[in-house]
Amino acid sequence: MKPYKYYIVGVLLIMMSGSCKKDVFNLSPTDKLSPASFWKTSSDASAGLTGCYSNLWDITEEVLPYMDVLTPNAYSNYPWEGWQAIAWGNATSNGPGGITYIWQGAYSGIGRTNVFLANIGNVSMDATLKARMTGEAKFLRALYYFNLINYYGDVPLILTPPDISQAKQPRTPVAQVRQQILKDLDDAASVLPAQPYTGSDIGRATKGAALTLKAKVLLYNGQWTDAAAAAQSVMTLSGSGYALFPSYRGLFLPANENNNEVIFDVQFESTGKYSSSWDTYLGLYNASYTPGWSSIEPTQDFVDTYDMKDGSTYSAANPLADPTDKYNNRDPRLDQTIFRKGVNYNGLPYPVDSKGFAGIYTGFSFKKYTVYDNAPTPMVSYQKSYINGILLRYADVLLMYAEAQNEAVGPDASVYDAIRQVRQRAGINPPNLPAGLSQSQMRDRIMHERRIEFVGEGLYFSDVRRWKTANVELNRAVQLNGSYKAGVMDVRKYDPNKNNLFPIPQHEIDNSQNAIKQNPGY
Amino acid sequence: MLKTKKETYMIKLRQTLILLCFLFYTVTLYAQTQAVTGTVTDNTGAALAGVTVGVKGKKLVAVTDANGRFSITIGNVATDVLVLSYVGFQKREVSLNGQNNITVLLQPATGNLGEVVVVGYGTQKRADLTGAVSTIKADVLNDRPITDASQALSGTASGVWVNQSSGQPGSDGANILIRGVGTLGNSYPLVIVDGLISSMGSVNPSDIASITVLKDAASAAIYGSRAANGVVLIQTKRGKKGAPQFDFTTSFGSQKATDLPHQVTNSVQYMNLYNQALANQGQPAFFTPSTISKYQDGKDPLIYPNNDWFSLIFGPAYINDNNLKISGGTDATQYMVSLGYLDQNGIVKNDNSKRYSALVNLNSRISKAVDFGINMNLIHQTQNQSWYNGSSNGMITEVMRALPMYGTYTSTGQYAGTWVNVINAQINNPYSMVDEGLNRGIGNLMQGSGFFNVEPIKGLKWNVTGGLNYGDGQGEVFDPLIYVFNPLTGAQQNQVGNGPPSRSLTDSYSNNLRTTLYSTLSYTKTIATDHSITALIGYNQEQYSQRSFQSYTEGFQTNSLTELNAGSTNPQVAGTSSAYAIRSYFGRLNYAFKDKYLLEANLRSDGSSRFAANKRWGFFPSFSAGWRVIEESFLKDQNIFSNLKLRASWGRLGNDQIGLYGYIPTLSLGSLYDFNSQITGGVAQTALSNPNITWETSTKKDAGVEMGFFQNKLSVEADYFDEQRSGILQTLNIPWIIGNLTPPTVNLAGVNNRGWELSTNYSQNIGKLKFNVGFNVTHVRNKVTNVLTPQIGTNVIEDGQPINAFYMVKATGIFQTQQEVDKSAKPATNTTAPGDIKYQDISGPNGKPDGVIDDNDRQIVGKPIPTWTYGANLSAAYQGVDVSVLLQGVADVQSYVGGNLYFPFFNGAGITTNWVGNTWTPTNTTAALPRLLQYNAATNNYMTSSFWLQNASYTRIKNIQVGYTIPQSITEKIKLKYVRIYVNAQNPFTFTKFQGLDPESAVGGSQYPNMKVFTGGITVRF
Repeated sequence: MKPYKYYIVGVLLIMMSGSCKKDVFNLSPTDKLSPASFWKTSSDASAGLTGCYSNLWDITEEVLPYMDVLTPNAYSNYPWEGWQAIAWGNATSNGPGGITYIWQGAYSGIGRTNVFLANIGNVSMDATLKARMTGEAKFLRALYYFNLINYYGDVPLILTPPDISQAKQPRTPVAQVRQQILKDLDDAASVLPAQPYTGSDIGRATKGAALTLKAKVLLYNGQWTDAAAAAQSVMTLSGSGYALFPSYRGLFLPANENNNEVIFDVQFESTGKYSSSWDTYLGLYNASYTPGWSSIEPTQDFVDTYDMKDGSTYSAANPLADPTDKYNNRDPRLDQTIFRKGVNYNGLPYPVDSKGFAGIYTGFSFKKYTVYDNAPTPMVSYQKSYINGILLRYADVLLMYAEAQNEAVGPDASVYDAIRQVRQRAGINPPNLPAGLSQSQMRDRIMHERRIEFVGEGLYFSDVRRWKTANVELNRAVQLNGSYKAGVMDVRKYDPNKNNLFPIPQHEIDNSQNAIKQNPGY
Repeated sequence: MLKTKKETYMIKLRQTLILLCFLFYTVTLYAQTQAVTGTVTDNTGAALAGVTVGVKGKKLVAVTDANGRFSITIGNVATDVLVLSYVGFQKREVSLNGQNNITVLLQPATGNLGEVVVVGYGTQKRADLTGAVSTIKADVLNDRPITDASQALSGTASGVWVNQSSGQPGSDGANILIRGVGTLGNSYPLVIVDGLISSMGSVNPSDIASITVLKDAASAAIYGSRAANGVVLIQTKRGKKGAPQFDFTTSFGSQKATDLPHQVTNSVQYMNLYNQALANQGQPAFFTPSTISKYQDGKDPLIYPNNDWFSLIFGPAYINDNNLKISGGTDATQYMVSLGYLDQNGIVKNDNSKRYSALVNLNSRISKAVDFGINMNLIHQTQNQSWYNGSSNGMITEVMRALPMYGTYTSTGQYAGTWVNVINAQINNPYSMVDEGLNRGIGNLMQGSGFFNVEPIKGLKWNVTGGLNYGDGQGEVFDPLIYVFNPLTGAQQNQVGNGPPSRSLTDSYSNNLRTTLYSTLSYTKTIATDHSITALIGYNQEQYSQRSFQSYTEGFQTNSLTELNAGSTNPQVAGTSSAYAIRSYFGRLNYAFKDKYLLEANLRSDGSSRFAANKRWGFFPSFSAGWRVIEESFLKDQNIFSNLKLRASWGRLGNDQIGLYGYIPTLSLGSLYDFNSQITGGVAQTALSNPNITWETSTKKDAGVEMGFFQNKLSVEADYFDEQRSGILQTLNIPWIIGNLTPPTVNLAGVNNRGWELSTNYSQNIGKLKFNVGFNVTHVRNKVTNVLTPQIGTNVIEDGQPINAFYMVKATGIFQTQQEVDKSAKPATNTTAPGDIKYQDISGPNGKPDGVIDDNDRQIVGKPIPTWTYGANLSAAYQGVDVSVLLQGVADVQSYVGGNLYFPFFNGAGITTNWVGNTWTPTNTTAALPRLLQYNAATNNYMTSSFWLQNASYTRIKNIQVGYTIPQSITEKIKLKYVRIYVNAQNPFTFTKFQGLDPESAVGGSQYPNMKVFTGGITVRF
């Protein structure tokens, strides 16, 4: 054989390897989009906006049901779930994890809304729809920032798409951030529809959502007159159809999702793609009852505060008080919220140990926000819970109005009426508060009503901080009465000079080169 | 007529074997005249083929044939001196003194000067090397229970640190680091098997002929862009001319963990310790006296167990390795077929891996100027392990979480929980983690390549090599539905695991393909007898692509049907693909003057798809020089030095080991939301890209000396090296406020890495006793320079500090008195009491000590990369008996340990025995450990601090082997050429101060223990 044949073979091989091709380096991700070709059509805009909604999971799933364990309302036994140390006053800039969930999720959502708002202008699409989508994004940005200022105080205010230059952005005073939140909400309210959405748009932000959040932002800042006006604008919002859902228990069942009390919620579904694990966290730890973990349990401290079913305060001397079981004849919301000794849990008697102690850690379990009830109920798996997490609802609007109006004007008839509506739906009979309450008495009534109505919805931790009652409420021992923790005092600590705000995650301080400063005390 | 060459060995042929067959060829064709004839044998009397026979001072050369015979015409039989040289043997000069037929015996080289070393795109004689190169021959690996080729390098070469962090069958590859760590990201070397980029796991260790480690810029620069971490070249065994030869080796053995946690296994003791911890925390007892006394009185071991879960789940494991090789060939064509079967159980119950391998290769010279070869290497590997948490790697943790009160089975044979109130809501039965479910992996690797060489004119060679590496992997994980039952009441307790609650199956599949083609053209020429030049130019192209697919479903009716079709609900799929390409041009020039002064230059230019077009191409040069002082006349008349060479090199190398598309801005799909329970796809930016990223470059300097003494009985090689990396590719830590985005990769920092290494070897024969002692040591320190922004965490990357230095508060002891507590700095949260850990207050918010221990007091307290790595080997043979010992160790290294193993009752887990009686109490004030508190207690004892940082230095006897070769007089009777039986112990002894598990694993961070392996086996050749 002559060598020249091999020269030909060799040259052919090299040619086959594609050495003459210039585009051998032209490789790009096959499962990701290029920003250069995105933001062109209305479906691009819609997908980008969905990305902004997506972060609602981060600030809700591991957060919403846990927030009450920071208060005497509830208890969490497992430190690794990221909340116990906060209640104990032991949180540091390195944790626990719960502290970072909100920070990371909110800034992720802020980054995405900033990208959306920077690009939506270039999309050619229906102008009305474009305006609505812009309003939705602004509402979401406001919501994310509101979560940040509520828990951390001053935070870096970033309104442009993510860029490495933001790494050293210091914290912006809370007033300035709040101003931006209110501006975003006003912008959103001006373009969002008042009418409920239909079909696959259900769950999007509405005008009512923007106004309700506005009322909340103002209320949390003590701007009573403005807060009352904002709340009232929701109560009178024509076309919205807002009303209290007839059943308090039913309000938190999947079957009744998106009812006309819900103003804005986080929409979970059942496949595990965008689901929660609330039935697992809240469910009783006992395989015969649920696959639950008893991660969050209501405390006796809280359960004891329910009024009687006629609205009177409980005492052993109250004629309605049942000497055999002090939890009988209470505000109907008790048994719509709580499992206790003497009732059934999924068809079985609520477990009681040989010494008479019920349940696991506190002696009580949450019914609210689980599918479980007194009757047997099919069990829901980990990461398969799908009840929507309600962030804004009409009862809150009514009680926010009542509180703001009472502070701004005093306990006028409109205050009484707002509270009456909430108590009437709860089934308290008669629902009216006694006439002639002073402003201060009315304030106490509203505080109590909020604690009962919104337990397990994560509002009480914020309420006691803004009411300045946290120094008492969050700074005491809470007795646990469950069979695993019978008689244990869970000592909570709260230093108003420190614990009113969460620590800024150390990650942010370290990686901003100290441009971001820590909150006092940490 | 004779073919004449002055310096045959200057010819650099691609492979030893090709050299051999080429030379046979020339002999058979041209040997006609005879004046002096002879036979060359080795010290066993076996004929040596291919020995170069020259005449001193003349250009005459002959080569021995297959029978060791040569003939050469010379001028003067009385005065001429023959010079015989052969790879691997000592060069010998023989005065003829008038004889015209002689027999010459060549002694094997005790040094390695004649050795031909595989280098990038070719081979070189060791004597001619100007770079820092270590080689490991097959005999270092022989008959050791090495299950992954990476383990072979441990302790055997200076500058090479091998860390095996896991002993899990099928996942026990070791990490190889060459001359420490010079970068912040991927610091592992480039691995090349038979010329193609590959991995250590893709070759059966038994098939390895040699491993070459290219350590400095001079030797590695020909691999340019990916050579900054060094290069490991593996050459597999090839056939030799001769009748078919069968080599069979088999070994059996037993493996056990080098160490396991020593846990409190007495239930009553556990409960008392737990209550004690609570008492120390001022809390009431958790386990009531009635529970404890009931337990004490209980007799039924199913209800009142004192289970030592480590002995139940971890146990001795069997290993069996078999290899059969058939090789042979003619003058023109040689072949080898090698088959391997490895069956290895894991020390975790039911863990197993099997590997089937087949290697086939063929070389053929088809004409005077053309030869070609092919190579096929197939590996099929299976792995079975625990389904729980997706692997068996965490079984130590899981077993630590199983308390002694947890039962094995109930009286009715169901998985037991416990009737005792326990701390964790979740009671898991470890048996169910290893006996149920399914976690099976299958991997297939195929490397196929071919080459041909054409030599159109003498000295000019053209090589084309092409090949592909194909790999695929399949995974099946079935999560079963298992409940544990109360052993006392029989009531169902909880489901094992956190979920998913119903049975689920994940099937995954991935494959990857790398195609490589390179071509080189080389020319060797000697000019005016004293000037030797070899020039090489080449082109290389490589394309890689991979695809993966994963499917998942739930809703299985039983734990026994585990196919996707048996599932019914919630099916999910995922999949993606990726690709990269590299194109390169390279060249090398060697110049030698009188074989004394050596110069070499390399250049390589690489383009990579990982970088934007304007940052794509990198240029990597190197220069080196050597001076073989031994050849100088002033060293002629001495008999101390038998070798003396000085060499130095400088060069620039690259590193591109980052994600594939870091420069391209992207939007991710999958940020979904569900509106009204209808899942809607969303798009979001989830990562920051960096269009400016480019090569990480490494500038390496090396100076070395090679010495041989007393006919090379003693050899010493020492190198000083200094490497400066710049533009190290690293993910930048950024605050979450930037959209909580995945940070970009940037050219972040530099690292200086410098040190020295020394290796010595001494061998001697005393009568029938042959022995060899080798020792190597490497000292290396790295320092971060020019970091863009310091990367702060438990491990920091900060200017002037070692890479990933431990950064935490420093513990200075244990508080003895309340008075001491009162006047000392302490953390603001949690109460500090006598018996707690005392920390050093070095700073505060204002930069001054403030009496508060917090993050401001963090300081550098250690480093995770050893300063010293060393190895030693000893081998001796006396008549048929041989013994070899291999030792390996590291020093000046720390490991931060925490979690279940080190903290008592970590999240409700068990407690190790070192806490028993060893904790501070008012009466035991000299205890090593602080007062006994639960990990979850309100205490600062378990904050990240130097208290938990441990010295991870160790010295390990890596291997001991004793063998006996049955005398040939006996084996011949049963028609066998060679029979050796042996016993082997791997990792039999470890010397360390490290508390806890294996220090080698601790450095690597894995939790599957390393194994002690005891095997016995037999090798047969016929």
